Amino acid sequence: MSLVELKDVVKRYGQNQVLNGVSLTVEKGEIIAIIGRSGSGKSTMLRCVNGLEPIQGGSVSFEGTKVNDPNTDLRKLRQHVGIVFQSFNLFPHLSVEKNITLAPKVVKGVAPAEARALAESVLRKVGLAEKIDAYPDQLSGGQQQRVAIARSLAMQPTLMLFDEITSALDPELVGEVLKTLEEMARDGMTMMLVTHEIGFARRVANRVVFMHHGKIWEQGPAAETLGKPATPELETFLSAVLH
Amino acid sequence: MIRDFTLNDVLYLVAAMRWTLALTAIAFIGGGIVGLSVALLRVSAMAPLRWIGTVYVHVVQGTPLLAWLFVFFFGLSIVGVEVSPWIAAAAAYSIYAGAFLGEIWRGCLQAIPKTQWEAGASLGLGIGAQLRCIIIPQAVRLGIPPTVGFLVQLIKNTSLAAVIGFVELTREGQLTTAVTFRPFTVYLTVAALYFALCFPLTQVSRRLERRLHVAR
Amino acid sequence: MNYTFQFRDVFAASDLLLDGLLLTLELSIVTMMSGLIIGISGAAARVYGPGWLRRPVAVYVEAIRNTPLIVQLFLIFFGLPSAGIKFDAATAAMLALSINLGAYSIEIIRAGLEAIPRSQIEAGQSLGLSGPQIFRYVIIFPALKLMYPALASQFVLLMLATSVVSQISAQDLFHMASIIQSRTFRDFEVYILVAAAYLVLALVFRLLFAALYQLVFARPKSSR
Repeated sequence: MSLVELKDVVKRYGQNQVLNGVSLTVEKGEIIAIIGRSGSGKSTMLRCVNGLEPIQGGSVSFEGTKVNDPNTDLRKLRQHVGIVFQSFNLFPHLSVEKNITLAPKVVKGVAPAEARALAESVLRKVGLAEKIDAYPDQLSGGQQQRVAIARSLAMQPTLMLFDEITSALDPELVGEVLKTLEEMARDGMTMMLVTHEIGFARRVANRVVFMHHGKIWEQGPAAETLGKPATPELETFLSAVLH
Repeated sequence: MIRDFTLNDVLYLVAAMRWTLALTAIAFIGGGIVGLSVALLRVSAMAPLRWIGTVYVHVVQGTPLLAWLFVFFFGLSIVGVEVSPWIAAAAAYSIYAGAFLGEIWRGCLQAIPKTQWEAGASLGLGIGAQLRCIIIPQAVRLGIPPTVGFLVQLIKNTSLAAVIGFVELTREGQLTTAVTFRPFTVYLTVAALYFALCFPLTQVSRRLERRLHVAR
Repeated sequence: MNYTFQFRDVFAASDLLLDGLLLTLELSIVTMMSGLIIGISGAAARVYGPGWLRRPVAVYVEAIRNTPLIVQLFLIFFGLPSAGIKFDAATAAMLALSINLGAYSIEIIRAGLEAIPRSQIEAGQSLGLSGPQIFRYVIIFPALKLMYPALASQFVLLMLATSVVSQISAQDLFHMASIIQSRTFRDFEVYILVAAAYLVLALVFRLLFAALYQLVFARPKSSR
């Protein structure tokens, strides 16, 4: 059984067809980079995996549980699927510690003292141990994004989703966030990331998925696919982002 | 002598609405004049003028309208000035509405970016001309929705004039209750009549507000 | 015009004024608390509730906001007894004021809830939080913080509006003033004094609200 299975997923916003029969499987330990133009449906596909986007056709499953089944307990499922957003989405009224420990405490019932230790340990992973008592607006964008990653890690997810997490950052802050991702990759985390960082995708991902017009247009091992695109669309896309 | 609450009574109540409206109109005109002065005082370049405006707003917004009505109606007559409910109400409502309209309009004046004043100044316009030609036209657009919203407050608050014997809608309701002993029906009718006046204005204010947000 | 101000008779009745002041304070504080509770739960129902709940809440809010408080008060105090529901003046006053403030609070808090970006809710969902947990831990605090100034000034206006309950003979500050007036015929002095008392109350409430903001919403300075 694959960790994630998307089968013929169809997603519409009114008349606008965003996903046009998308099928994809992700195995445990894989790192998948999803690339494509804006509007190609890559973020939408990612958001279908943890059920943030209801779908109109096909099916999505995680560890064999159907995500798009009304009887599925999405809350339970989401405890195993972390997601990090482009716009950080930290809770502005909570300190870094509280941002991280909120879900472990109220969802999993972790005791306060234990929660603090948990926050410390995930913050160390993202290199921000000293910021545990800071508030989000006291941090740079890169630091906020790393806290957001730590917040997801604190739930000890099986799968992590990253939705263009460096797109809102100033160029000089992108590096620190990518470094954090690379470390997670080394730790063996299963990751699906929507990204514009082609160089990073080539270096870190096992597989690259190129989306176009709401479909998976082309996919394959990272170096091969990015080095020798099979379709003219990917070739055009790559030359546009690389130059 | 007790009689029934009939259609006739409803018609009397409807007729009494004209005094509610007349009072609203007076309050709005008086309050408008006071309010405009307060707004200009509050944005004045001279600090003492600004203080006067600030103190005025704080005092009026910190005291019940009811107190102003009583001071003018009972108070002035004792000092030897005979006042009709009309005069007392007009004075009290102008003072009250002036503070609230003044604050609303000050906010609108200050919402116009400083660069607009500067642009006017660099075209060689004097302060008066900047206000007249550049600032006020823009501020008016901003000011209309909250002003209409305040009009609703004003209509509702004219009901307090009933306590000094001013026969508007609420007072007419009290009088009708006294002869029919049907307070529930009478006051429900009165409330419905206020609602009929206020609700459309509330909606207009809301729509204008939304349009303004879209336009910006 | 040779009127001499004379506050002596008025001050002689200061115990009455004090009693009135107490009821005014009690009415204000109880109403503010119930108004806040109605406001939060009503706004939650209005924004996140099921359709069958949203509609009645909207009707309640519009009905109250578009009719005068004094008519609402008369309806409850004079009108309801004919339907067999009777209250004493103070209870009727508290009820009418709470219903009134509740409607305004719903409208204010609703605007705060709607201003919270959808992404905050999604972040909560993605962490496995339930709807009520998201409301409690993620949404309500920033929403109240955002609308705090509007709520506070609405609450001060409410405190002033409690003077209306004197019209159903609830023994509040304003009612005591009219009692003293009828005894002493010192109209001007009484109402000036009472107006000043309300002004001080308004100031005190504003200061308290500012302090409360610091206490609840401002973050500890040492956290940097």
